[in-house]
Amino acid sequence: MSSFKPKLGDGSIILPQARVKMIMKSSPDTESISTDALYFVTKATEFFVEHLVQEIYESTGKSNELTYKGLADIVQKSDSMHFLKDMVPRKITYKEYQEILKEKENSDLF
Amino acid sequence: MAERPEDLNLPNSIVARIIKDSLPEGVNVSKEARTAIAKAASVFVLYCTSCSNNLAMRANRKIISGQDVLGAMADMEFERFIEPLQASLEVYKKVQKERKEAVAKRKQEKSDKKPEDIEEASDEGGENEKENEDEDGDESS
Repeated sequence: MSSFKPKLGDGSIILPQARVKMIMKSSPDTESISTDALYFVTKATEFFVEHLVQEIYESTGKSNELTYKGLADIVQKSDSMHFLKDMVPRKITYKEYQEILKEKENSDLF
Repeated sequence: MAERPEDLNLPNSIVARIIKDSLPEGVNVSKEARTAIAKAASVFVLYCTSCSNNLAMRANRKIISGQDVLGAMADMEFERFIEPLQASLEVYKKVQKERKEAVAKRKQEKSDKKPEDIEEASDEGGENEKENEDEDGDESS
C-alpha cells in the first residue's frame, strides 16, 4: 500500500456539500446524514480523486500525459478500485470485440 | 430531490481543479480521462454511502454518523484516508470556531459602545452583520 499524504491546509473542502448530499440521498437506504458524516464523505471524495490521480501518474512512470488508458489500467489492477471495474472498462479493438462475439455465439449454441 | 440527472454528478470543473492540484505542473490530462475520473468520484460517493448505510443499519441507527463513514473507509480498503480525514475535520472545526469567535467578538465590541443594542446584536447570525453596520451609520449621523 502506498502512503497517502494529502495537503491538510485549513481542512476546507472545495466540492459542494449540497451536491454530495444530493447524491447520497439518491440512495434509497439513506435516511439522514450527520454533519460530520457529510464532511467526511465530501473530503474523502477529494482524497479519492487525489489518490487516484497520483496512482495513475506513478504507474505510468510519471508520464506527462494522463490518459484514459492509464486510469483503466489502475482500476483493473488495484483492489481498492475494484468497485469502478464496470464503469471504467479497458478499451478493446474492434477485432478483439469480434472475437469475443464469436466466442459468445459458440458458447450459446450449447 | 434531484431535479435533473446531472444533479447526481459532481461538478466537472471542481473535479478538474482537484486533478490539477494533485499533479506536478505540466502534466496533461486528456478530456476522456477527466470525465471518467469525475464520474468515478460520483460513484465513490455512492459506494461510500452504501457502505456507511450498512454500518448504520447494522447498529440500528437511522442517521449516518461520522464514525460510520470512517468505518466504511476501512471496509472499502481506503484505511489510508481515515487519519487524514480525522485530522482535516479537527482543523476545519477549529478554523470555523475561530471565525465564529472573531465575528462574535466584533459584535461584542460594537455592542459595548452602544449598550442599547446588546439584545439585538448578541443572537444574530453573520448575514445580518452588514445590516447592523448600516444601522449604526444612520444612528451616528
